[in-house]
Amino acid sequence: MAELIRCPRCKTALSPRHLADLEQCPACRTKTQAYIFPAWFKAPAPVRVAQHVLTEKDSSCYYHKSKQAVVPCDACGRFLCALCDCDIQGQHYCPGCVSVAKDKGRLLQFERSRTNHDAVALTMAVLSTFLGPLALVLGPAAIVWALWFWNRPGSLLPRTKARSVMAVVIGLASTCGWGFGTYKMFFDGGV
Amino acid sequence: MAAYKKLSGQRPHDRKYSRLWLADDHVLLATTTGYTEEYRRFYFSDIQAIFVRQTGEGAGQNWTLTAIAIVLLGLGIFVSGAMIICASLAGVCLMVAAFNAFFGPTCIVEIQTAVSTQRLPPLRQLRASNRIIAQLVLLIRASQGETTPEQIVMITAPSAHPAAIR
Repeated sequence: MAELIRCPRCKTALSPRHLADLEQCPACRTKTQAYIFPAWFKAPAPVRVAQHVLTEKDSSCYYHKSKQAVVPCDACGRFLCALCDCDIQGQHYCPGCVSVAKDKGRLLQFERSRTNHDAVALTMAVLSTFLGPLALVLGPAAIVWALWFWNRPGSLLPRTKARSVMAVVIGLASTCGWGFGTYKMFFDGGV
Repeated sequence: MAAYKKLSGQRPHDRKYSRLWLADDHVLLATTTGYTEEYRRFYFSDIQAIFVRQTGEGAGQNWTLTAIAIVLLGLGIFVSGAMIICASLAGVCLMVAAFNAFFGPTCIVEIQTAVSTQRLPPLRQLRASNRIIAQLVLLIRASQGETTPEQIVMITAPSAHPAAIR
């Protein structure tokens, strides 16, 4: 039996009017609308139980020798029992392949965060322009950072290389400028 | 790599910025601090419900801004020489309030799956949210199909059905 739809604020059961338009909740008076989809009525997936190997002809799971194989891994081809079968958007993988793919960033579905190295490099480059002689450290660091991570996968979202380019340009200008200034001040008798 | 299209504007919350992106089979909530990005994917086939709740946040902000503008104008009248500054600041407050009012009421949008209910911070203005939700509803229905009237009767309050009232 599917659950009743409830007001997200006070948990009072809502009426069909709330599915059609923004209507007041009968209890808390908050105007609420709900869009319900067939997934609401889907029963939770049954707990999968791996069957024991019954005859010698049955293929056994690569990871559990006593369990019956039900599907091969789509990546490595190893036979898997119901327990070891990781169903990812219709593809079947073994735990080993999932682990490797996650570590190497091959399965984008598992990626929950990324670092924007171009933004880090640009921040260092901008800071180097007004931190005086520290620019001699920060400027080159910004250039190295931008170039080091140039080909690494950045954001999952559309993003250009503009920040990396700017980091290199500003880092170079800042390093040269402050380097020249420092040289003049300390080794050439002042500017 | 999934090609993402912008679905909503970027909105600040909790010292982070969030934006919704649309892919072929899911909607992505990307939250960024500027240096790191966090992603939450909602596959069209997994979305059970979307709840929209109108809030008085925008109206409250408008009332506060208007009150500040009135106080500033009062100060400008009673404090000699401060009229120009106070009137300018009051003007800014009123402009922000007018801008806010132009975009209409505010709302909270939540997306529910079998395992979680997630608030979507980028959807804050009711009008814009409705436009985006209409787009999402089409995609979700294309993926899952339609709900039947019998299913709707099953999940709504029994007292709300005409048959039950009679």
